[in-house]
Amino acid sequence: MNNLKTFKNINTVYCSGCFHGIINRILGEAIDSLDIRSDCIGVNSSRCSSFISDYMNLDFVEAPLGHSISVARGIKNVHSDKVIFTYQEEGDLLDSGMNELIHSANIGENITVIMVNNLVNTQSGGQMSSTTLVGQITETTPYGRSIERHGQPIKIAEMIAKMSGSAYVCRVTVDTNERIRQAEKALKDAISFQLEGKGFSFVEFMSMCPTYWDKSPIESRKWLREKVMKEFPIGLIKRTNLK
Amino acid sequence: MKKKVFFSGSKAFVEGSIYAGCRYYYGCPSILNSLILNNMSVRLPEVNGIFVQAENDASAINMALGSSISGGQVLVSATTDGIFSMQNGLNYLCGLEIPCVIGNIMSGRFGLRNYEPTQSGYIQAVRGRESVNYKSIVLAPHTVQEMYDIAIKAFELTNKYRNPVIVLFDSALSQMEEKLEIEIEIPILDLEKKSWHLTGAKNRKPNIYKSYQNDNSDKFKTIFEKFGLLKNKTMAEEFMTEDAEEIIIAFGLMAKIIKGFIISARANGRKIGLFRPITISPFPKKELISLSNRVKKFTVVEANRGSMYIDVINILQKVGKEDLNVSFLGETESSIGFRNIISEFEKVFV
Repeated sequence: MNNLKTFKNINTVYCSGCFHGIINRILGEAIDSLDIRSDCIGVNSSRCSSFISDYMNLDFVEAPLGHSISVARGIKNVHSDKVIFTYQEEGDLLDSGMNELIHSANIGENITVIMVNNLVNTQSGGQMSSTTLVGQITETTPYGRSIERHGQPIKIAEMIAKMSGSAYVCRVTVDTNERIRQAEKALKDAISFQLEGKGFSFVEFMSMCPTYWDKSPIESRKWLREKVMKEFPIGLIKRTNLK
Repeated sequence: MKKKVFFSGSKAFVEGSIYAGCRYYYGCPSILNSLILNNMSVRLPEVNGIFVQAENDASAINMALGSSISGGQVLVSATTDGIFSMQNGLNYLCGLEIPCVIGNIMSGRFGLRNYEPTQSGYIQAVRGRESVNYKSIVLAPHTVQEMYDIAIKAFELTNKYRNPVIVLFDSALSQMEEKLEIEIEIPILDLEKKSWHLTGAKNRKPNIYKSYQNDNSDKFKTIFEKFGLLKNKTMAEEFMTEDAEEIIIAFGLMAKIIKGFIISARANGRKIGLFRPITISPFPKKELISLSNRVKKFTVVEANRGSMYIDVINILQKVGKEDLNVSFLGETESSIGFRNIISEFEKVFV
C-alpha cells in the first residue's frame, strides 16, 4: 500500500461504483513496475478523466476537448525518449477527437492512448455518446438509442486494429480481481510497446457510470457483464511484433 | 554578417523564425498558407527541426501546445479562417501561459475561394481572446524585411512574457517578393530547460497544467499583471510626422502603400504624415496621444469596415479634446476592396 510511487493513494472524487479510481491506481502501478515515473508525461482532457492529474505523481497537461492526442504528439516530437500517454473518455476521444485518433493510429505515432469507455458523456450530465448501447436511456436519448436515428455504437478498438500504424490494441475491464490484473498487464504491455518504439498502442477500458446509467453500483456491474461486455467483448485485439 | 536576398514575405517569415530558434512547425495547407508550409518543410529538416503537416488547424495549434509546453520553440500559421478553428487552442495557450508564435494571414471575408486581399483579421487577432478575458500580443509587419525582423521579435516577446504572439499580415504581403537583408549564419540552438517545462517529474514536484483550480485568483492576478506590463511595451512608426498637419493611421501593407502616396502628396504641397502601429495589441496609445497634441486631423485607412478605427476613436475620445477630427476611409458601401480604397485615398489626398 505504501510503496506506491506514482498513484498518490488519497481520497478521490469519483462517484461510488466508478472504475476511474481503480484504473488510475493500476496505471500508477504499471508505471511503478516499469520504473518510468520520472520519464512519463500524461495528457488528460475534459469529462471525468480530467481528475486524474490530481491523483498521479506525474507531469500532466490538460488539453482542450478532443485534442489530447495532438498535444501528446506535440510533446513526443520534443521528448521522443519519454513515455507519453493520454487518458480520455469516449465522449472526448471519439466524439470530438476521432480525426486525430485515426490519423495518429495510421501514422503509428509512438504514444499510448488509454480510453475509458463508460457509454455516456459523464461530466456534462449523462448525454448519449458514440458508444451508448442501442436502447440505452440517456439524457438526450430519453426513449433509448435507436439504430435509425443514431446508428450502432462505434467499436473503436477494432477500427484502430485495422490501421497499419497501430501496434497494440486491447480491450479490458476491471470488474473482478483477475480482470484488474489482466488490465494492469495490458497497460504494461502498451507502455512497453511504446518504450520499444513499436508504434501506436491503444487500451480501451470498459467502465461504468452508475450515476448516469441511473442504476446502483451492483445493478450497474450486472448490466456491464450481461449487456455491455456482449457488445464490447474484452480481450487482446492486436499485437504486432514488428521488431 | 548579413546578406542581401530576394524573398517572398512567407519565406522571410520562415527564415526569421528559424533564426530566432524555431524548430517545430505545425500547419495545414490552404492557398494562402501554403508558401509558409512549403518553405518550412524544406528548411526545418536542414536545422534538425520537425515539420508536421497537421490534419487540420485545430490539431496544429494543439500539437504546438504540446511541443511548446515541453520546451520547443514553435511556429504555427494559418489564414484568418483557419485561426477561427484554432481559437480554443489559443485560449489554452493564453490561460496556461505557454509561448507560441502564430502567423495569421488575413484572408478575404469568409469561405474557401475568397482570397482577395483585405485586412479583415484585425478584430479576431486583437480581441479574439477577450471573449475569455485574455489578451495576446499582436504585431503587424508592413514590408518583407519587417516580416523577417518581426518574426525574430515575436519569438523574443513570446518567450519573455509566456504569452502567445500573433503576427498579423496581409495575404499579398506573404506572397510578394522584395529585397531584404538576412543573417547569414543561424546560431546553434542552446535552449535552457525552464522549471515550467514538462520533462518528466525527475527530482522535482510534478508540473500539472489544468484549466480549473479551486482558487484561480492568484493565477489570474499574475496574468493580468502581465497585461499591465505589456501596455508600456508598444512599438509604432512615425513617417514624416514632424511638420504634418494631418495624420494617416494605417497598419500592414496598407501603410506601405500609403507611404508612397504621402511622398507624392507632399510634392503637391499637402503636409500629411503616417502613424503606423507595429504592435496593434497592445495599441501604441502613448505615441498616438502625444501626436494628438500637435495634430488635430486624423484619418484611419484600412481595408476593412473600421476595426482599427474603433480603437483609435476610443483612445482619442478619452483624451477629451473636442477639436480633434477623426475620420475613416475604408470599406463602405461605395468602396469595397483594397484597390477601391486606395484609389479613393488618392482622390482625397494626392
